[in-house]
Amino acid sequence: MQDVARRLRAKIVRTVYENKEGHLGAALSVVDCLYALHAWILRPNDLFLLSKGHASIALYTVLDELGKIPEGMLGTYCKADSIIGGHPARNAELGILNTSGSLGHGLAIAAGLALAKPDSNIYVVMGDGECNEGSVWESLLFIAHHKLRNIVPIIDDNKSHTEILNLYPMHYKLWAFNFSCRPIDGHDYDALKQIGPGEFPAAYLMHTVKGKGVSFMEGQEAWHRRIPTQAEYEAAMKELEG
Amino acid sequence: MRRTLAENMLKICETQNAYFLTGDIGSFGLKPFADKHPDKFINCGVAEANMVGVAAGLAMSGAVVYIHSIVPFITMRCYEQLRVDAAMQNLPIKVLSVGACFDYSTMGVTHHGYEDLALMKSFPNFRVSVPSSPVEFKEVMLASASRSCPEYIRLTTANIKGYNGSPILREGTGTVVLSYGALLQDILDVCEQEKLSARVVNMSCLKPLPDLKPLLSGCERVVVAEEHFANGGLGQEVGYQIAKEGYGVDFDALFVKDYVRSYGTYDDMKKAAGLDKATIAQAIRGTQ
Repeated sequence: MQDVARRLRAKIVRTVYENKEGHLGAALSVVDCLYALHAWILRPNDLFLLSKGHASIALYTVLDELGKIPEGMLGTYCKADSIIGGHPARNAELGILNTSGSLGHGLAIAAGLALAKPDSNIYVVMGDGECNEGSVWESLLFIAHHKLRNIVPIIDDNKSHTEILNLYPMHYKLWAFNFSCRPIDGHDYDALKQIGPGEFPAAYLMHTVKGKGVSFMEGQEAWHRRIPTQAEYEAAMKELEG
Repeated sequence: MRRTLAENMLKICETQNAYFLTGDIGSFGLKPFADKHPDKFINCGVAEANMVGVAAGLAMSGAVVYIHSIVPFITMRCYEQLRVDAAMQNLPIKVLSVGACFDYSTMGVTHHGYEDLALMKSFPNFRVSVPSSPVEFKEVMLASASRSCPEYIRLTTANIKGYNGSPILREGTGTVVLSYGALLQDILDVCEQEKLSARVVNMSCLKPLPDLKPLLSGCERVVVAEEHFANGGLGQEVGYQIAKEGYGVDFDALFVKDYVRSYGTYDDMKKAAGLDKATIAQAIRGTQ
C-alpha cells in the first residue's frame, strides 16, 4: 500500500476514534478513489458529488490531505458548531456541492449539472448498496436517454449489496440501461488515475474492500459504523503507521 | 392557468436562465416555449424522484427551475427529494402542481390532491401559493423567478375576475370567509345568491401567511373553507393565529374530511366532501 493510502487511512481511523462517529467500512473502501479524483483528475471546471454521504470522513480527510480545507478543521468533525459531520451538507466554502446522507440523490443532481454544464465533467461517487434505491435507476434511464457522456458515475462496490438486495450481475444491468460498465480496482492508484468520461454513458464498477487497510476490519460488516475501542484503535494504527 | 404556462415561461426567459421540467404532462401546452427554448424544456418522463434531482443540479448551475406534474406525483412520490434537494439545499426550484383537490374528479382517488399544502408548508423555507386566477398566477409565477427560495404553486381551475392585488374580493360585515383557489367563486356566488353580508378574502399566499389583523377587522366571526384536509391546512393556521393573537372571534372551518373514493363531477366531489354551496352558506350564517 502506498504511503498516501496509509496516511489517509490513519487520519480517518484517528478522527473516527477520537470524535466517536463515522462509517469506517465505507470510508476505507472509497478513500483511494476520492484521493485520485481530487489529486489528479478533477479539472478546474469539473464537479464532484459524493452521493454515498456516509463516507464523509473519507472526503474531509482527502480535502485535508490536499490542503483544501482549513488546517485543524478535521478535528472539529461532528463537534458542536462544526460544518463537517457524519454526512456532508452543501457548503460553498468547502466546495461541497450537495447535501447527502440520503441515498439515491447524487446521480440525478449530476444529470442536472451535466445538462447545464456540457463542458464540465461531473464525477459522482455512489455506493453499491445505494443502487438498491429506485431513484438510481430512474437517473440511469434519464442519463442514457439524454446520452449525457460528461457524467462519470463511480459505484464503490465494497460488497455491501451482498448483505442486502443483490446487484449482480451489475454489468448486465448497466448494459441493459444503455450504459457501458467499466470495472476498476478501487485500491490501485495507477488504475484510478485513468478515470474519465467515456464515448457512451459509462459507469465504473469499482471493486473495493470494506475496511480496506486494517486487517480485522476488511470485509467485516460489523465495521460498517463501529467505533474502535482503544485496543482496536492501537492495533489499527500499528498496521497503518507501523 | 395551465394555458398560460408557456407564455409565462417565455416572459421569464427574456431576462433569466430558467428551465421547465415536466413529469410527462402538459407538453402540448408548453410547445410554444419548447419550440423557442428546446434546451430549456425537458420532459423527464414518469420519474419524479429523478426530476427533482435534475432540477437541483440545474439550479446549482445558477438557473431557476420549474417542475410540473400532478399533485400526488410532484409532492408525495418525491417528497424526500424535495426535502433534501430543494429545501435543505435551499435551491430555486419552483414546484407547479395541477390537479388541486378534486380537479381530476373523474380520475378517481389516486389523482385527488388534498394533502399537498400541508406537506409543502412544512418545509421552513418554501413559499406556498394558490393563485385565484390566471392573472394572479402570472404575477405569482413571474415574481417567483427572481426569488432564490424553493416554492410551491398549486394551479387550479380558479378564474376569479377583477384581480387587482387586493386580497379582499368582497367587502362585508359580521363574518369573514377566508379561502383560496376555485372555492372562492362558490363562496362569492353563495354570498350573492343568499344575500349574505360576509367579507370574502383570497388567501392566495399561504406561506408566509399575511397579517390577518386587517383582514379580520370589524368582524366577529371567521369561516375558513378549503379544498384540503384539515391537518396542515389554512383552517388550522388561522385558528392558531386567532388563539395566539387573541383576536376574540368565533371560528369555523370547512375542509375535506376523508378520501372521496367515488367518481363524478367536481361539484359532485365537493358535495360528497361537504364543501357544496349549501354547506358553505350554513357555515357563513353560523347555522351549521
